[in-house]
Amino acid sequence: MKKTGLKARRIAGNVAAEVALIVLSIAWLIPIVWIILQAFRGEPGAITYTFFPKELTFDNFARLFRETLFLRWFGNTLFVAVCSCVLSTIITLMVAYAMSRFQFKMRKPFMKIALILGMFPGFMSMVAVYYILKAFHLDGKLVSLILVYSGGAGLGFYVAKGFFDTISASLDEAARLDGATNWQVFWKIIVPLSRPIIVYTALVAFMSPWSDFIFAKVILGTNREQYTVAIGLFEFLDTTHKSTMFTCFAAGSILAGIPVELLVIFLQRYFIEGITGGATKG
Amino acid sequence: MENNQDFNAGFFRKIWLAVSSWFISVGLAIADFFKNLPSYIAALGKKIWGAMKDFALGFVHGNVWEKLSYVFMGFGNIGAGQYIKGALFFLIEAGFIVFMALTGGSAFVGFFTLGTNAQSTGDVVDEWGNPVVTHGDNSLLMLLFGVCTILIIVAFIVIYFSSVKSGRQAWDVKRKGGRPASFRKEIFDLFDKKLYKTLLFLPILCILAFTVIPLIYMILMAFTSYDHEHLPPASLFDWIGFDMFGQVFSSAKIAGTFFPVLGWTLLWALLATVMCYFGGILLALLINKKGIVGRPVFRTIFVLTIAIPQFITLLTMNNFLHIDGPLNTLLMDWGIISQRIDFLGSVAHDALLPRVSVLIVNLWIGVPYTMLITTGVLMNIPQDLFEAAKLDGANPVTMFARITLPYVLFVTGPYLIQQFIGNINNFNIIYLLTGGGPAVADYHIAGKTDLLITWLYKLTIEQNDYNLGAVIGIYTFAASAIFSLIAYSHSSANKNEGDFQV
Repeated sequence: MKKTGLKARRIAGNVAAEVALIVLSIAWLIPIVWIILQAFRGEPGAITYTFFPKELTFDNFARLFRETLFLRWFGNTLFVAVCSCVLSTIITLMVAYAMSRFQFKMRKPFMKIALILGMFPGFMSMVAVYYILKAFHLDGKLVSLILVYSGGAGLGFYVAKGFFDTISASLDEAARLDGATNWQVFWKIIVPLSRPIIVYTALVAFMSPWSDFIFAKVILGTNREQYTVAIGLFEFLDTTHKSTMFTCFAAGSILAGIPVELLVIFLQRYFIEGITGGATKG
Repeated sequence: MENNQDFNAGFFRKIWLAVSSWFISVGLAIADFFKNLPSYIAALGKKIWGAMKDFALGFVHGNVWEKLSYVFMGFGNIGAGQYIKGALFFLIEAGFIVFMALTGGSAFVGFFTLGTNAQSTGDVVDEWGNPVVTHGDNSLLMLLFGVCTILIIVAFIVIYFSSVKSGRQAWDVKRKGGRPASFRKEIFDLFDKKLYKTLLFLPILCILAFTVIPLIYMILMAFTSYDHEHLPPASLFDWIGFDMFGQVFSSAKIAGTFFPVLGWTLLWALLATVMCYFGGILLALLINKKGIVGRPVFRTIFVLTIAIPQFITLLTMNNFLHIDGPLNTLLMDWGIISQRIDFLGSVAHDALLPRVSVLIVNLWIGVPYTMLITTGVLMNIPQDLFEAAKLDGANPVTMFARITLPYVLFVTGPYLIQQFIGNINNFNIIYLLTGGGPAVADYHIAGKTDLLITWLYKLTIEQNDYNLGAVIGIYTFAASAIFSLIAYSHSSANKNEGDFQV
């Protein structure tokens, strides 16, 4: 008697949880569904008084490719993302390995300084970065974006260091007894064992150029040919363009979201492992 | 039931105790720091004194080559047989002297004057209507080059001392009858015993160029008169000392903006962090509940929302919540509201509603993150803890408060600190959602939802008051730096670092 009561209660609890999850999922999906619908909306204007468009069309995508520089912006962003992803990953791994496996005088101070510098909001130094790049005639160029995005990577070593710390040091010692140098240990033992953290670091570095618009805007200025998707799409929403370009913005957003979205879904396991590691190991 | 009530009261008291003891320990840590400050300074002084004594004694006791190395860098190494290393040191010295003679010297002076010739444009304009630039100093560039030159000088001094030391070490080896390491051996060491130097060289150079120099540059701006009335290259700006730091407190308009904005920034950071944290834990518990059907689907839906570039999410939300936007339309159609709601404060002047809106949108963005993070942590809680609690007749609420929450809090402590700092500097969400609005007349260029960071953006990029912006930036930065350094040194992760290391 008691047992069936318990069972009934558990089933009721699960049904309630299931319903709650469905409601929450809908709440999370509504804005996404809405922006997708907007991309296919036929009627013009920034905002309509209906949730569902009255007519559906592919015109917005066609306009995006025909009338704007979207394809070019997309290429720019992909270029910046791939380059800064490779550079940032290399830099992050180098620093993380040095911090994890070597004991030297500046180790602790460096870690504290990195922590403090990392807290400094990047765009506060934006103006200074701009003038430094300008002094080398690099303003308005995509190369400078790559430099800026990967230049700070040396400060974001904490997650990878936490991962390296969990790789047993006895592996290193065994290899060193066999005559391997530290460089060989790093390259032949640690790197192959660190696939999850490498994938995670690369993924995060790949994602940021798709999203950053403040830094990119200051560095690229008015050089529209060199824009990334974020600044380009942001421009669609300023007061002069919004009424005509809003549906194009929606279409562009979907296209810009796809590469990152696919990568995250396929590499979900590494992504989750990485952010969990970052949260628990500081 | 009664038991449960008791427990809840105890639970809140415990939280309150934990929070207050944390604040007390922060206070004690600050007090400790200042109490120990004299001894830190004494230790530092002793170290410097020791180094200087070594430096002077090294000269007195050294042989001719070592004495020469005090003037001509690298001669100590050359004399001891390390020709390539010595030559490199000497080349660095020669290069430094050439640099200082050609540009460094004037850049160094420029750092102090920040320019003496103002631009004389008169009223001449070119065909595009821009004023024709005739000779004039650009204070902004002079400050930048000055900072770079000073860093180069500091780097040179460090290299100088290490060259003297390196020469002496080579001779010490020689005097003991050994052979100083060959250049090849030293390069080999850079890939073995001293690999960390090789690994860190490039990253540190990048950090210097893109973080440290800009940071110093920005901090120095706070001490200048660089505002909308002194914009290079049209006019010069100059050093004004600590004037701006005081103005934040003394000028009624600026202080009247700074303190309310600071208050809202802290309140926002606290609420946003705590709400996302508990929301995420609850969602993780829901998703991982035993017997839930379609768990991978739910999880993918939430991961999906994380993966969308944030500016898209926020701009979508901005339009979604607009007073004429779809959410209002839906609510009207369903008959839930009879009047459109101004969620983002674009029309009304009421502060509460937009503030609640940004917090809720932040929840939408932040909860899936915390959910993912705590899912892993929840899996790791030893199940026998729950079994034992169940045998003792504990209900789910008790188990959550006594087992789950403490465990998750302990493991994800660093994440909470990161989130708090991240929220203090959460520029995107405010800038893209409300733009800081609703604007109010008694604030100096700020609105009711403006955080310090968005106010700073308006002051610098929009108003060109770079010095005031820099001062605000320094105050913000100092607050978050002190907070998190103390929090980190008190959190579990820092203490356990050694556990992972052998």
